Amino acid sequence: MLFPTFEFFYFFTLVLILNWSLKRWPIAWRLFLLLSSYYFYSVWDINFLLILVAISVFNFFSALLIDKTILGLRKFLLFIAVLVNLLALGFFKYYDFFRVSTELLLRKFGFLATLPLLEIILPLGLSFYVFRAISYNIDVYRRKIAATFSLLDFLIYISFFPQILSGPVARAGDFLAQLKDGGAKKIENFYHHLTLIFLGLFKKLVISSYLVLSITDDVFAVPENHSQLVLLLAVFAYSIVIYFDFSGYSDMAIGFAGLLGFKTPINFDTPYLSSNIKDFWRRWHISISDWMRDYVYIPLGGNRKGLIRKYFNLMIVMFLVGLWHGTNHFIIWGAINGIALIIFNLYQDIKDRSFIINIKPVEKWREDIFKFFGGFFTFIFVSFSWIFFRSESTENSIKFLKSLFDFSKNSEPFKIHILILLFIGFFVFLFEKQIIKKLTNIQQRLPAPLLILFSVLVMILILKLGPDIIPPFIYFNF
Amino acid sequence: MENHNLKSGDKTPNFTSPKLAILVFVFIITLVPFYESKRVVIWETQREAQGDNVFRAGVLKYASVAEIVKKKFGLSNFFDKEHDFWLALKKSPILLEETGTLGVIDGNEKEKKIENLLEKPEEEKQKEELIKPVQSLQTRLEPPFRILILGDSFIAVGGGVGNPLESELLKYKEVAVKRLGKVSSGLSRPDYFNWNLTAQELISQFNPNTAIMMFGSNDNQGLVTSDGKVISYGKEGWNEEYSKRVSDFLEIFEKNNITVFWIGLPVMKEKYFSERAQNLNAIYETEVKNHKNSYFVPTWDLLDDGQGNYAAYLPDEKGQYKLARVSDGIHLQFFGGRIIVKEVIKKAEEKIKLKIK
Repeated sequence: MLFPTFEFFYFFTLVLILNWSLKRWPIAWRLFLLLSSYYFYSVWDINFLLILVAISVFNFFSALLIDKTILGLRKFLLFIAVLVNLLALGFFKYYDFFRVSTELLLRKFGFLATLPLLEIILPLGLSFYVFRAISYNIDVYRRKIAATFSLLDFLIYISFFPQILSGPVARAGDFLAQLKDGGAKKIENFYHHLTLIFLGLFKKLVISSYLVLSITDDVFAVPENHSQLVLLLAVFAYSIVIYFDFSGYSDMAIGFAGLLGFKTPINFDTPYLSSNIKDFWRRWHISISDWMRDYVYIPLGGNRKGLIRKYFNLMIVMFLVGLWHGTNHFIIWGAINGIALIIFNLYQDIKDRSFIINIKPVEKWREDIFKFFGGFFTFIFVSFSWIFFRSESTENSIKFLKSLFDFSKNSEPFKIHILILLFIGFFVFLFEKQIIKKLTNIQQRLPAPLLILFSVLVMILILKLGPDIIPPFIYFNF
Repeated sequence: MENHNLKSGDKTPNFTSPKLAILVFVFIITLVPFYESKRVVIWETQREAQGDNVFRAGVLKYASVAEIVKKKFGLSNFFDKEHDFWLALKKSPILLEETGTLGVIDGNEKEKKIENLLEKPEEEKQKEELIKPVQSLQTRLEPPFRILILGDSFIAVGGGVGNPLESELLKYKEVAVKRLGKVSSGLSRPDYFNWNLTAQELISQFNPNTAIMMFGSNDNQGLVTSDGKVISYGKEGWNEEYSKRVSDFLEIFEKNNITVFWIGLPVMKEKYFSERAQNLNAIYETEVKNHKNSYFVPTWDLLDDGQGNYAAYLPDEKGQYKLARVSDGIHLQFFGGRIIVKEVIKKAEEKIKLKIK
C-alpha cells in the first residue's frame, strides 16, 4: 500500500476514525494501532511481518536486560544487541554481495567454493526499523531513557505504519511518550499536517514521477546514448527527483502521523538552500544524519580527539552512510561526500585559527555573497555527487561522467516539459516554507464545507496532473 | 526528555477536533474516486500489485459502481471528454508523459534523418520496397541501423532487458537506438496505453529500419473487442482476439519495411503465470511467421534450470552462480538481462550486419 494510492486512503480513513474513537480505552487503542500497522506491513509480504516481529521482540528483551543488569555486563549485552541487529541487516541487505565476493576471492586462491544460494528479499523498511531498534538499546544503555516494560508500546514504536517503510527514524523516548494515557486528545496543527499530505502527493506524483519517467530513469540507465545537455539536465533533474521523492514521502509520513495525533521528527529542512556541505548534511535526511552523529560520530570521539581524528571520524560516518544505502557506487557516493566534508572542515579550522590572529569583522554584504556562492557550489556539488548514487553501478557512473565530458557528441532533442518541471521544482524548493505557510493559512481560514471542497479539488487536480502509473519510492530500496 | 526536531510547523500550535479530519477524509475517499472512477479502474488493475487486500478490492468495486452510476445518469460523456482533455494536455509537448531515449545522432545520420522525415514520393517508396531484401533471400541487411526498442516493463528501466540491450547495441558502428518501455502496458489494454498509435508515432519520429520488442507480461487479462464484448483470459475467442492484435501490431512494422525481432517471454516463477506466458509465446511465434521480415527470439530455455523449471540463480561463463531474476519471479536482474541481450544480438546478427566499433 503506497501512500499515493486510493487503497491507502481508504485504509487510512478507517484507521483515522477508529484511532480517535478508541482513545477512551487506551489499551484497545494501542492494540488497534499495532494491528493496523501490522496489517499495513503484511500487505506487502506476510513473511516481512515475521521478521519484523522477531526483531522487535528481540530488542524489547535486550533493552530490558541492558537496563536491569549490573554494571559489568551492560556493555557486553549492548554489544550483543547491536551485533544481532547489524547481522540481521547485513544478512538481508548484503548477503549476495558477500557471497559473490567471497567466492571470487576463494577462487583466486584456488578454492572452488560455493556458498549457499539464498534468494533473499530485503524486507521493506528493515534498514529504518533496525536503526530505530539500535538507537533504543543505546539510549537505554546510556540511561537516557528507561527500557519500557510494555511490549505492546515497543512493538508499536518499531512498526508504526506512517514511519515503518522509509522513516523518519523517530527516537524511542520521543515516540513512547506519545502513547501514554491514550495519547493526544486533539489534532495539533491539523492544517499544517493536511498541507504536508497534499504537498507530499504533489512532490511525488506531479514532479518526481514525471521526471523519473521522462528523463532520469532512461538517461542514467544508458548515459552513452545521450547528449551532454540532456545529461546535464538529468543531473539536475535527479537532484529534484531524489529530494521530491524522499521529502515528499517524509512530508506524507509526518502528515498522516500528525492526523493520528503523533509528532514526527522532520527529515528535511530545505537542504538545497544550504550554504555549505556541512550545512547540507545537517538539513538532508536529518533523522539518519542525527542518528549517525549520536551513535557513531560522537562515540568515535567526534571532534574531541584532535583534528586528524575528527576528519577520520567524518570519513567513517560518511562511509557508513554510503554502506547503509548499498555497496559499490553508494560507498563511492558516501566517500565523495566524506572528502568534501573534510575539505570544508579543514577550511573552517584553518579560518578559525587565523581568525584569532586577525580579528577583523567580515562585512555583511561580503558574508552574503559568500553564502550565495557557497550555496550555489554546494548545490552543484551535491547534484554531481548524486550521479554515483543514482547510477546502477560504478561502471555506469563512470560512463555517465565520460559521456558528460565527451565533447564530440552532437545535440539531441528533448522535451520542453522537462525544463518546465525543473523550473517548478526549483521554485518549490526555493520557497517551500513559504508555500507550506501560505497553504496552511488558506485552509485555516476556510469554513469546514469549503475546506472539504478545497481538499477534494486539490486531490483531483494532483491526480489529473500525475502520471497513470507511479514509480515506487526511491527509498523503498534501502 | 529528548526532543529531536519535533517541530510541527507553526510556532503556536493550534488544536483541531479529529471530527474535521475524519470529515475531510470521508469526503475525499467518497468524491475523489467517484470523480476519477475510470482512472481508478485502470490504475488499480494495471499497476503491479503489492498484494491483494480488502481496501484495494473495495476501491475497485466502488469505482466500478461509480462508472455504472455515471452511465445511468448520462454523465459518462462528460467524464470521458474530461478524461480525454487531460490526456491530450499531458500528451502535448508541455506535459508529455511517455519519453523513450533518443539516439545521439552523428552528423551524417542527422542529415539522413532529416531527409527521411521529408515525405517521399509514392513512386520512390515503391521502388525502395522492391529493392529492399526480404526474408526469403536470406541476405543480411547492411548498416546503418536505426533500431527501435519497445515494450512493457521488461523494456523499461528496471525490467532487465531494455536498457542493457540499448547499451549493447550502441557498441556497434552506425547504430542509433531509441527505446520506449512503458510499465504495466501491453496489447490487452489500449485504453491504458495504445501501442499501435505509439508505434506509428515513433516510426514517423525516429524512422527506424529495425525494431526489437517484448510484450506480454501484463497481457493475460480480459480483452474488450471492438464491438464492446469482454473476453476473459482462457475463454473461447481470447487467443483469436489476441492473435489479431499481435498481427495488427506487426503489420504496422511490415508496412514500414521494418525488420522485427520479437523477444519471447522467459520461464516464470509462478506456475499459472508460466503457463500463460507459454500460451502467449506460441501466439507470438505463429504471428511473427505470418509477417515478412519478422523473427521470434525464444528466451524460455535460456533462463530455466536446464530441466524446464524456473531458476533464480544461473551460472555465468566461469560457472559462478549469479542472481538472474527479481524476487517477483517475472523480471530480470542485470545478469539475467545480459543472457537475453546476448541471445537477441546473436539472433539479430543472422539477419543484420552488426559491426563492432
